Amino acid sequence: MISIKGFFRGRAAIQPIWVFVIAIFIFFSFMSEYFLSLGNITNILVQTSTIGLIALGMTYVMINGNIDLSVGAILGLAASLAVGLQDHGLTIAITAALASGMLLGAINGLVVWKTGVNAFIVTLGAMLGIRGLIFHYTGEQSFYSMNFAFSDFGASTIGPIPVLAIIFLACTLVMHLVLTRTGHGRNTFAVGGNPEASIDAGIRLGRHMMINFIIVGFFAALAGVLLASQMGAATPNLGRDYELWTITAVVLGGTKLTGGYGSIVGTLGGVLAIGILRNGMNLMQVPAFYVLVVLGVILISVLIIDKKLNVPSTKEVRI
Amino acid sequence: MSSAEQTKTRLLAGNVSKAGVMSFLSAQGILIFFLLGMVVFSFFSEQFLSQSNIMTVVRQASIIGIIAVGVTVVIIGGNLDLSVGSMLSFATVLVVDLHDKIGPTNAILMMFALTLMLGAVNGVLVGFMRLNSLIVTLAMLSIIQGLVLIYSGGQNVDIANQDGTWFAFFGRGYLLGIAVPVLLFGLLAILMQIVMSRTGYGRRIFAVGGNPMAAVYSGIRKNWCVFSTYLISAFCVACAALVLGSRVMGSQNNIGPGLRAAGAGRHHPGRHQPARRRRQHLEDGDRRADPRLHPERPAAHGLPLLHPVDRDLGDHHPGRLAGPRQQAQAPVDDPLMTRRHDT
Repeated sequence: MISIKGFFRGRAAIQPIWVFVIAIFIFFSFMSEYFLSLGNITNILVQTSTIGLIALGMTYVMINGNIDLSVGAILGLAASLAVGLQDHGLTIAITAALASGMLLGAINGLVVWKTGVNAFIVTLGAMLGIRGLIFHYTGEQSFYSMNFAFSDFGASTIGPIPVLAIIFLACTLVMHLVLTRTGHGRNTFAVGGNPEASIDAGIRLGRHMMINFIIVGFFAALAGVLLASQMGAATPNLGRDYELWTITAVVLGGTKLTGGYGSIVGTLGGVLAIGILRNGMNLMQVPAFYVLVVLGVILISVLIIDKKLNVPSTKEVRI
Repeated sequence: MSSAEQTKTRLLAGNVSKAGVMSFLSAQGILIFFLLGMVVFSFFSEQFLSQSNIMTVVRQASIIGIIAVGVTVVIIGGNLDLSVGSMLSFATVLVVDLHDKIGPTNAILMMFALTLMLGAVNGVLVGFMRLNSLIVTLAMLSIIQGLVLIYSGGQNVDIANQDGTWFAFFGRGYLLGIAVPVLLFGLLAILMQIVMSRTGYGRRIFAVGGNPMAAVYSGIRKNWCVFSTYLISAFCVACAALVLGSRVMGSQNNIGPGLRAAGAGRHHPGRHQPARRRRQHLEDGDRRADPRLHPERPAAHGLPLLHPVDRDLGDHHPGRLAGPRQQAQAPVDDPLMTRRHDT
């Protein structure tokens, strides 16, 4: 009940992460003359689109009470497939890449559903296994795209706005609507909030769990394809540590690890917060190393603030 | 492990039921996998079962093993520690860099002190402020990685005179014909097994991990217990850094991250639990360890994971650990470093 109420409350007021995004946006606009230009802002959107796309799927999985650590590896595999299979035609390559992501997501979901093993462990295993698959498939080589239609796509624009940014924003909108307006979205919240009550209410836990893993697999693969088209190449190590960045973005956006609470709007805020911070600090010529520290500190601060704001209900015992 | 022993005796008595086999498998799965791996690999390679290869394997495993000993305690206490990987980079870079500046003894003391301090930060945030351990240690992973890069300026550090220092003892030395890393690993594992199974402290950690509320009601100071598990974890990381630093005598500032997964993969929170408790897990998101898990279970590793450096070099030859090091660089696969070429 608390999570549902909190959910409505979260939708009504402006989310804390957006306050932060606006604050750093204003801060960097004053600190750097180059920050507030259309070129730079579209740049931020393109830079964040990779993490952002995965974060959309990850939000679903985390609201559902699970976690997926294999997204970085799925991204790497999809990127390698999308570039490596181009001899057979671009359509086949991209279809294969996206299908591989969905298939691996489905396997993750199926294992979590059928064996009941913790998703953390299952996807940790998948992360290692899929990375092995990439190295096996690529023979530890980087692939370069010979098809210019593919590499031009990553740099193309519609009007002044890059296609990648449009894809990211469109996906965000769709995922937001699915989460808030459809039965699947509502059931995802219910399953994450209270699995036993959802079973009693006749919700099929496993099915929703699996669909969510397929969604995150798809988005990881899509991010991989787009990243590969951005670079016109794919390396076997692509996507390492992306799962950490993604989880950071999603948690910054206010989604609870325990499940049952979160929103796509918050996730968008989290993704933008990371993107703006990186971009702004780059423009201010702060060494890249400090960004890691700043991000970690912000993540912990968000947790502390969240802890202070969320007063536990009276029934709960403080331990 | 009383239930497992019962199962074993039942199996020996020939009283084999399906449930018995299943519970034996689930309790001793990793042991069976270990034996199976031994048999399979010894068929495929003649050298596998040779004494020198076994010693090599154990020596390679010892660094991950030492870290895993500490992480085990944290997980039994009901939390996670993802920051061990970058903490290992931190400690290794520190001890190798300080070795030439303030001498081996001081460097080791300094390294232990600072690593324990990082552990204490983890401990305060998770134990006393009761923040989610997954996110806290994720954030610490990022922070510590940043600290290492800031400290080293992104450059590799090396010990100048590699043959003339007693610091080599920890990673390259032998005592009674056994490699020191292996001895250290064994010693820590046995010590931790005794602490966890025979002392009141160990029982308290199990209690806190198993049912925090009951633990608090029975007068256990939960916060201090959780805090201490992170200190233990940091201590083990410092020991591992001692071995790694002394073995490689130089350090890459990105040496650790590959070890994160390896350390955490050892123990499965909620693996043997009945479905009901598992659902409870989903509900409160708490990742508790099963008290029946053995802290020093041998692990089967034939995996490239064992060589953090090799991950970057892209081959799995054990000798490469001490081999040519890459020029350090800012993380290339950083998600947001990919720029557009136009605009």
